[in-house]
Amino acid sequence: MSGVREARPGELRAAVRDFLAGQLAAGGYRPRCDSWLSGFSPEFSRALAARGWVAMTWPRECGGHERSELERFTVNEELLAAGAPVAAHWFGDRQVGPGLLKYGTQGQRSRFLPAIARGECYFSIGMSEPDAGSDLASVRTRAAKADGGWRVDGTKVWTSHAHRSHYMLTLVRTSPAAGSDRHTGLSQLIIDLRAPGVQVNPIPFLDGEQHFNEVVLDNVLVPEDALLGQEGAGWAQATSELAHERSGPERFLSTFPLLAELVRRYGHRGNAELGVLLAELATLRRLSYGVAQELQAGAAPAVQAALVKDLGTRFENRVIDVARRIADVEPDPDSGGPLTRLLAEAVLHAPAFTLRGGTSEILRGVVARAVVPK
Amino acid sequence: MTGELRTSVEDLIGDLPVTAEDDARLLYDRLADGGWTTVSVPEHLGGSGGSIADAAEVVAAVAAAGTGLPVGETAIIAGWLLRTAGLALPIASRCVVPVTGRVEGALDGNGATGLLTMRAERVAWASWASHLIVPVPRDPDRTWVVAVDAMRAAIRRGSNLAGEPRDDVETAAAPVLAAVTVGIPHDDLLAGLAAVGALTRSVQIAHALGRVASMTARFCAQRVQFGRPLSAFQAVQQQLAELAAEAAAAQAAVTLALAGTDGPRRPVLAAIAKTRTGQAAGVGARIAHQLHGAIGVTREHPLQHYTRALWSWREEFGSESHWSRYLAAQMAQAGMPLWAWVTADD
Repeated sequence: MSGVREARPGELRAAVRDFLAGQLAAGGYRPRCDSWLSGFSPEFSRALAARGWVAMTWPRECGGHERSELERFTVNEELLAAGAPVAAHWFGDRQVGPGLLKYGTQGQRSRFLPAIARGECYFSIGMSEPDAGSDLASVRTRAAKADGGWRVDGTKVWTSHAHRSHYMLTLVRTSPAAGSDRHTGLSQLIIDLRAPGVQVNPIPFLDGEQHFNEVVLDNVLVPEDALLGQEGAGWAQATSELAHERSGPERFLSTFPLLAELVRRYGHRGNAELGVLLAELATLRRLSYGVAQELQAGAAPAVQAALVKDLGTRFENRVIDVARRIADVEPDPDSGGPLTRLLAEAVLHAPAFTLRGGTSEILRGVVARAVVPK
Repeated sequence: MTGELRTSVEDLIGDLPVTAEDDARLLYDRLADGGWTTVSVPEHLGGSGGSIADAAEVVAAVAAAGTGLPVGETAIIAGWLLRTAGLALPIASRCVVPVTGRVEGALDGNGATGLLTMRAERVAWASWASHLIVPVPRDPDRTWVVAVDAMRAAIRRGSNLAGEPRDDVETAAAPVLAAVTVGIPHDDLLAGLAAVGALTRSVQIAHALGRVASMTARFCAQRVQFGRPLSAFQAVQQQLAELAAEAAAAQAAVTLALAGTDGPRRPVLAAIAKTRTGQAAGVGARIAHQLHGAIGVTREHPLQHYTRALWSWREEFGSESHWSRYLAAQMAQAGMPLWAWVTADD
């Protein structure tokens, strides 16, 4: 990308820290674990966007800021390390935007991208379906050609934030699979979650929090121009963003606020287990940054991304193990003190770390297939 | 540049692990003739004038080949010590080995006319040395860095798990070839050497483990059991992926450390590398043996050249336990929020 204004990484980092300090002082957020999934704050997302830190890598004409993947990496890791509420814009910024840039029509780009970039338009991702588990190609949601577009019937599950998002990028079957290849005949539709026939039912998370939903699509009329990219190419399109989805700092920083608090309280003891976590964290940052470098160079390192996520989510869990051993306190979700509250958030959210975005078992299958010579 | 370096050395080494000591010495001579064994020694001190990262390419190629050679000692560690001291390679030296651990001893007299009396235990590759470079205390603020002819030392052969020499060294009033003073207290110089040594072993571990991972994946693709290649079993795939992840993590930790060899965080980066590669060595070797089955635990199979070395290297120049404690102590001492400390290099 020519003409990119590259701020010195230190300056950008410092600017984000200033912004976060201001937000914190003004009561704009309370640091928490897993903030990229649980911290949904339209106000925060809009303020962040106003600073140019949403849609950072997109072209200017789409509302973006033409910054590099590496600058985006820096901003995102700062936000996550601070436990800032970034969930509202996260999925639009991470997956939907890059998909629209790659496959969208001019009309779609100008309709959605500037609004996402302003932190005003939120997207959910409609992939999983009931009874399908990790088998994402097992799509039963159907879209049939109708007057003025498609009629869509089916159900999506585990759809984060569908109850407060505006649109859902939805994987649907638009024609029967060719033979046994289930990856054919799938398409991506941008479905307006306020359209008649869309019903969003909460699936409360185990701690009672609502971010998961079941989205029932009952004879929903979806206009023709809601098709993203090519009809029938939905699988390839949806999976082309996996390197973005799996490699970012959100795959190893979900419990960082707990680790930071642990160090603040007990770091002076020079505990060796903390040292091991520091070595792992530094290594994960290097690996994840390496993927950002490849993305910047135009590659889509899906295997490397799978590996980052597997290692990263294991680290997120290990932070909890070490915190328990060192602090020896009861987790307390309602605590006024940060340590026991952050521990509670981490413990309760941990089971999802190694499931969402591809289970560890699926990821290891991806890695193994890549390393075994044909 | 560095990629080419590595290829040149790989071409010299060939494919199979060189195991007989005579063959290994011949291979070492070939590398020495090409200047590969003194890569990070500055040219004005008689070396090849490369960086530590360049030297790491040579060490990586040797480690990946599964061949034990003292290039880590000569190309990286001695290079660092000579550069730090401003001491030239001794004339006609073939294998300059640093004495890196605790040294008991003293230099009697001054400079090149002095006599060295010292003892050190488990010095890596001392029995291969043409010359030894020995740091001994001069006064509380300064250290002598002394070059002696290895012929002047009594060397009692020992070994690590991979059969690499780890020898006890003793000299009694040995005339020195050269001695220079560095304005660094002895303990601090030893700490510097320990960090360079930890980085060196980390490079060796990462590249040996990379080869172990590819060797294991190849084996699992070829080996058929129950009518299918091992790699078709999900239980095996899970293990292969974990091995690949550990190898990648080890590589990343080393990349990070090599990027900062001139900076003030050099010891911290070495500590990160040794802690992470030490972990990876254990996990990786265990998985590789499990997947190779019984054939992998035989002497004739090449896997053991790598795994025996991994099991030794992870302790040498400090285990994960040592360096993780160091990391935690450094962080505590810095007294800043964790994230500021983590990103201090960026």
